[in-house]
Amino acid sequence: MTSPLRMAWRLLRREWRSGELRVLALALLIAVAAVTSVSFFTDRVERALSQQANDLLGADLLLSAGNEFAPAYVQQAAKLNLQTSASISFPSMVMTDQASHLGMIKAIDDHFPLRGHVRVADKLFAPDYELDRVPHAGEIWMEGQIMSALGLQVGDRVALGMREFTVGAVLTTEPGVGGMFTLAPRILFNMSDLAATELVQPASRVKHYLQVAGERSAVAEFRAWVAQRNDVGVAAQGVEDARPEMRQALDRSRQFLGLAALTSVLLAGVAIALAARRFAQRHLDHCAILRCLGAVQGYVLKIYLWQLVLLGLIASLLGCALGFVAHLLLVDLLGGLLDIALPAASWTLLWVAMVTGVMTLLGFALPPLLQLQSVPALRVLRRDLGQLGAPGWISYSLGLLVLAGLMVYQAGELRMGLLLVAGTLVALLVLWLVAQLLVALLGPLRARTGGAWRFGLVNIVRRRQASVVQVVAFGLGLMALLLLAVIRGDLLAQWQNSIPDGAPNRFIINLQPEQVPAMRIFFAENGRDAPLLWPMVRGRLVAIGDKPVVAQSYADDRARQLATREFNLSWTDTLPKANKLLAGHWWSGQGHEFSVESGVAKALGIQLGDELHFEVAGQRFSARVSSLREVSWDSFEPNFFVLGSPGSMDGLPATYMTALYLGSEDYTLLNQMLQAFSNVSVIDVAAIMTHVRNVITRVSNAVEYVFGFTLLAGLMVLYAGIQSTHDERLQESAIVRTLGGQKKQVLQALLMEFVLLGVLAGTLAAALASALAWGLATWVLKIDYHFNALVWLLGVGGGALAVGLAGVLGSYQVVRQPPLTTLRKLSL
Amino acid sequence: MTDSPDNLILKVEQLTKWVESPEGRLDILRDVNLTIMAGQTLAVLGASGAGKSTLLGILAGLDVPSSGKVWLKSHDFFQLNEDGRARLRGELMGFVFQSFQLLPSLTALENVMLPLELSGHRDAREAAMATLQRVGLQPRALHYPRQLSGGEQQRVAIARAFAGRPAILLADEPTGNLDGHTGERVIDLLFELNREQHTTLVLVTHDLDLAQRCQRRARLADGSLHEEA
Repeated sequence: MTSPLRMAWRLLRREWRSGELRVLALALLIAVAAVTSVSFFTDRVERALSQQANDLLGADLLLSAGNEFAPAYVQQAAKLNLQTSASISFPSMVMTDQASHLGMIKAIDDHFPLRGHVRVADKLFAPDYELDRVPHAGEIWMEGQIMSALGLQVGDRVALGMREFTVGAVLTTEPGVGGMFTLAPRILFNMSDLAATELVQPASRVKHYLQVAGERSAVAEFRAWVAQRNDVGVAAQGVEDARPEMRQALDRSRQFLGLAALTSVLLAGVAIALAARRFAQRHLDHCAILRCLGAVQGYVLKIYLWQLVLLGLIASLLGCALGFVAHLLLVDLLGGLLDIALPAASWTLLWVAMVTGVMTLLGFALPPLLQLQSVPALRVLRRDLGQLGAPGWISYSLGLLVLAGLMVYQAGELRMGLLLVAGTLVALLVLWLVAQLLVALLGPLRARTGGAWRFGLVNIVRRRQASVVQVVAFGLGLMALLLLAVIRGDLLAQWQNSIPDGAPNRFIINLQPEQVPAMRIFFAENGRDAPLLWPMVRGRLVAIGDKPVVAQSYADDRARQLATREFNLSWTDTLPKANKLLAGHWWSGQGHEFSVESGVAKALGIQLGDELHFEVAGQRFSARVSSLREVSWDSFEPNFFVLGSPGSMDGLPATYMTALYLGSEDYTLLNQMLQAFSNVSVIDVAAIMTHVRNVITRVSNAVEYVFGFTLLAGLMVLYAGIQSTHDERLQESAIVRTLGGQKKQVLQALLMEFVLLGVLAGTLAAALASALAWGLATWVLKIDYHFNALVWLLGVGGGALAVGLAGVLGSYQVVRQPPLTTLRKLSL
Repeated sequence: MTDSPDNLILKVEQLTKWVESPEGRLDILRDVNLTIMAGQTLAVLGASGAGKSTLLGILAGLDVPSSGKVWLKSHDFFQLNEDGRARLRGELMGFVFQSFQLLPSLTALENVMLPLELSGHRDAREAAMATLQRVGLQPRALHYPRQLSGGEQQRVAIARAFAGRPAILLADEPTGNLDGHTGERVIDLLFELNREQHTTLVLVTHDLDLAQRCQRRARLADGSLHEEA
């Protein structure tokens, strides 16, 4: 006997010619293309965003230490083909003949920055531009506010320590900011001038930085090497570590893009299941004939399995190619809009896509095809035998398992993946049960309607199981589409609203306590409401309970960093508006208390009731932890890891800080403030906020286009669903016309049937999309969900319109051909 | 044609088939006995619903009897499992059905090639084309069943049945879906090929004229098979 593989290949070629397999192949091709293009695109976008966000670090990895880095660090980096750039940062006074001002000085080497660009302006308040060089020897770049404070222009001379410099440019943006706050306006000069300044002495408090950049895997390996060395005082930061607000934005974008990709896979599975069932239905006679001609049961099964595998491989490969082209075209179209340079595509994704395609095909096409092996040969004489059984959930358990696995893999996060799996299963079950109920409820309506409505109702009720399948399929497709619209709209609104236009863009620090009243008067005299002034004490956490805090005892990088850094502590009587209590209670009024940010508490192992001991300028003070807080870091309001109850830090050296919004028209006010309060430092977070807004906008754009692929997959579900009962409808309509029915009546009945199916599916879809969106928003994405009536309007109306039109268009053939031709064709 | 045991193609002993129905047990075949020698042609007559197709299905191994034995050449047919019967069927039997039973996604040539490919025939294409030529349909070799008339489709089916040179050919109402003139031509072809290949032919029909063309005739009535003189 000819081998099953060879036979399967022959039959596959013949079946393909006849068009039998095209729907199945197309569904898989589009699914794989969607997944591939999404995977390529999201992978490249995520890596690009990661690199963009790294601009704020000026590197892929930033190491900081109180002492100079051992040569081994640079050597190891070189071994891994990583770029490095060294810099030293310290506060110091900048002096002119008339005045002086505190500045945060940074000496940089020729490689700075490794990521991003320094931006400068040729004079104060002039447009800035990227400059791809570092200051020359003898040249200094200064932020505008210190230049204003000192009355400097570009070209003037200033002294830094024992060295004089020429102001070469106004510094506007400097990548590699080591933290949200800097103590003073920033100043850059060339490392070759450092020795001449004589500012760095053996006892000087300086911060050494080593920026590292290169291949992702090499950077990760280097970071692991640093962690293993475990040198005291060395802290490592990737962008995710250092930027809570950026971390949130990146996580949200990754989750949402992953969600869009998952939806494509899910819809593809539904479309494949429907198309495969139709294929199996149309091959019942084939199987019986093969058995009659001598093929044994196992041989028949193998033929169809091999056909499936071969088709899956070919369609997946084509889908990958199409997906790759689609994503390239997408990148080309979006290049200007996205304004982002994407790294090269990762070809390892192709294997993932191929496996995804074949596994999806097997998972959803096998259940009906497996039934073909049981078709009795006697069917050649008795066509009532060997009908396909109704698909049960168990038979699709393989497909559902494959999908669940893919969901978890694609989500990249177990929790979100499992939540999506659970949500999808619940959705399917609810859809099924409610669809059964709704179809059953339609029964009594038959007697109360007439004409085309009645025909449509009759057809739905008579083909109950097929109707339920189509309502579930359409409902699922519509639900996924609505879900994206809901989540997309809410996420975008949340993202865009998270940084309101009037959000603080300047932080003022180092205000002395005795200057607080004068500051309030200053704002009042200038017609501005005085911003909230926060007291700030810098202290180190030295013990939790009776256990000293030792950095090396923590395995987590972030925990070790927290254990060595100084905290910005403050006190307040009311819970700040960007904070939410998670555990414990606000001040009880009994003794000194602390409220700790939940992430820090988790990292350091701090629990409610713990006694925290801080050291400030040689003094110790303690308080009990009475609450844990969640902080919205992307609010850009002043936020503190540790807050004390009023009076808990009395007598400790403190300064005051505040945050306010200053528009471009307020620079004069700013200069007046600096002249009136020359000791304060004004931190410009406008650049950071601009960057964050940029990232959010780019992610929003990516989401828009990912949505397009999911929509395409949803349309495949519609098409496959209509095709699944196409033959039956063709035959019935042909008989009706034979018995005297007019074309118009047939079309109206079809229209009504599909409109009704669309209404049922749309209603279900809207309800489930809203429920699922609420769940995802509340538990996973942690944003506020708002009821959206448009979802219902789009669901019901859109479902009726889309399914009605698609159904009629897909079945229009029935009224074009003479009835006899249709009946003759279907009897073969 | 001798009646020696070596020439025995099909032997049926006390074949019974009954089914359960809402009214109770329904006997379709009762103690059917039949012996067919190689090269013989037998017509099984009976009214509609007499059980002719049931008998044919059991003789083909497509259905199982309630009791009794069927010997196909030297093989106790129902001692074999379903797969075993399928293999034997592929080796020894050909079929022609009332509804033609061509695969719509294959061309006429590919339909005729199918049994040859299944059995691993090396020159399936050439052999199939030769058979198609014999039935006068070589010009239509690349046409699909939907492009052929009923008579042409049945001729393709006959070509498929004879392509593998079966020892026995079972035909179930081969002219049932054809008009008189077309049916005549198809039957002529069927008997011509039967003679050429010395195939044993078992023909189920309700057409007396068709039955007269067979060497033997048996009538199925009330579940019993009686051979006519």
